[in-house]
Amino acid sequence: MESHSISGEDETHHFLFVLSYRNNLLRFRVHHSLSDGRGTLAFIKCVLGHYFGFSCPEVDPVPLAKDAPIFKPFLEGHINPSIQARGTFNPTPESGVFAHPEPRFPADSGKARVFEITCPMDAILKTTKRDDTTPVPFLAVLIANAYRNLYPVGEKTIALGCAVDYRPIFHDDCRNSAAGSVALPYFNKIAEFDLPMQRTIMRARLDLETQEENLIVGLTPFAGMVNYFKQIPLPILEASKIISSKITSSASASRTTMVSYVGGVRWNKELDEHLRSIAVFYSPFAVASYFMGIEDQGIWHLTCTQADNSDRLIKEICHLLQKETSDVTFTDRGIWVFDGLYLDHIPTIS
Amino acid sequence: MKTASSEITYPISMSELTHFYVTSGTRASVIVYELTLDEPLQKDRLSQALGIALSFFPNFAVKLLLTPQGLFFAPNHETPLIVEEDGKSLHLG
Repeated sequence: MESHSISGEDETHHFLFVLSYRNNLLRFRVHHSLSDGRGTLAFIKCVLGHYFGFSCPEVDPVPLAKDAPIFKPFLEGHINPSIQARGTFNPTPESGVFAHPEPRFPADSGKARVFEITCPMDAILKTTKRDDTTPVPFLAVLIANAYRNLYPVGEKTIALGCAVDYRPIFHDDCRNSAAGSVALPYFNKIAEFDLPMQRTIMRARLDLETQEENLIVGLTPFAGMVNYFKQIPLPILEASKIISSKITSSASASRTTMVSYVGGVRWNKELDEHLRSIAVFYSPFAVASYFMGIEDQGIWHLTCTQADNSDRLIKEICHLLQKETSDVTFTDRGIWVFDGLYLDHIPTIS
Repeated sequence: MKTASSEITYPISMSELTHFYVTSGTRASVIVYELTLDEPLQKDRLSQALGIALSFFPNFAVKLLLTPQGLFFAPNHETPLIVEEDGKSLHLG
């Protein structure tokens, strides 16, 4: 079956990672769609363990084969081999990419005010002065601080940083599929297992930065979950609902903010609507850039959605960001129309 | 560039481990780890170790496919790529 990978197929034999070496230097390059930094490190440890003749005791063999549920839709021959990813992409309102002439769902639900924050991720990571490998915790803290500045002290507030990235999402198929029947029981585990740990981590970070007792930040790193639960496809919608509800109910929050750093997901209407319903910000541009391979990956496009005072909040966030690093610019791009179904905009070759 | 050497738990003799993202170029969010071992690497051993590791981490042995139904991972039956760098050029991302 002929098919096309979307990243580096000519150079990497379709692999989304490359292992290179020179003398004593070993270099792993892993596309973020495969794993996060933590998962990559586990993989590296396994490679090195076997290289040096150690066993890999903390990792059990994964019973994954070509007939595993995760591959089922692919193996059933539903692939149109004529699809190719587009190499260029111009993310401007005039390009038509975000101004869909026939919205798939009510037009007003697809409107959002776009604030473009240009800030290299490297600058963010340096600013954190920690071992963060993702900007999500930093941005979550930033949002918490912005809340603190905007809302009265004593008001319970949650900033929920949600790294929704990484796994192939069989979101629509999950409930009725074999994959879904396997995966869904794990979601409660995810919430139970990971939430306290992540809350502790974020709490510690907040204590360092704000000393504010009424700010709580949770982080749900779905990207790392595969290392706990092996090759389980994660319908992030279900998982995010569980986790956000647990955080909200446990903290009696008056506001919830979700930061979604989205990439590698199977974007669809329901997921998009869900994010809009619970998130103040998410980055649909990250999705588009992932598929389109656009330049300037360091640019964040933060999008205000339906939350109250989101304009004020995002401006405050930008203000705080500019305090942290001078290498940031802020532009109000006005009201845009999003439909969230960016895959539809990828040209097909018939 | 982030140093993450404290996370290593294997008793492997190495002098450095760095971790950083590549966020420019046409490949979004490429995670890069660099390790400097105390001895020159041997490609045969590395290839063998990689093959074993991929059996434990099959999620690293997939290819990404863009289809009309969405984005999918598919099994990759190719040989993993191990590149010996020439030391002159380094293209990350």
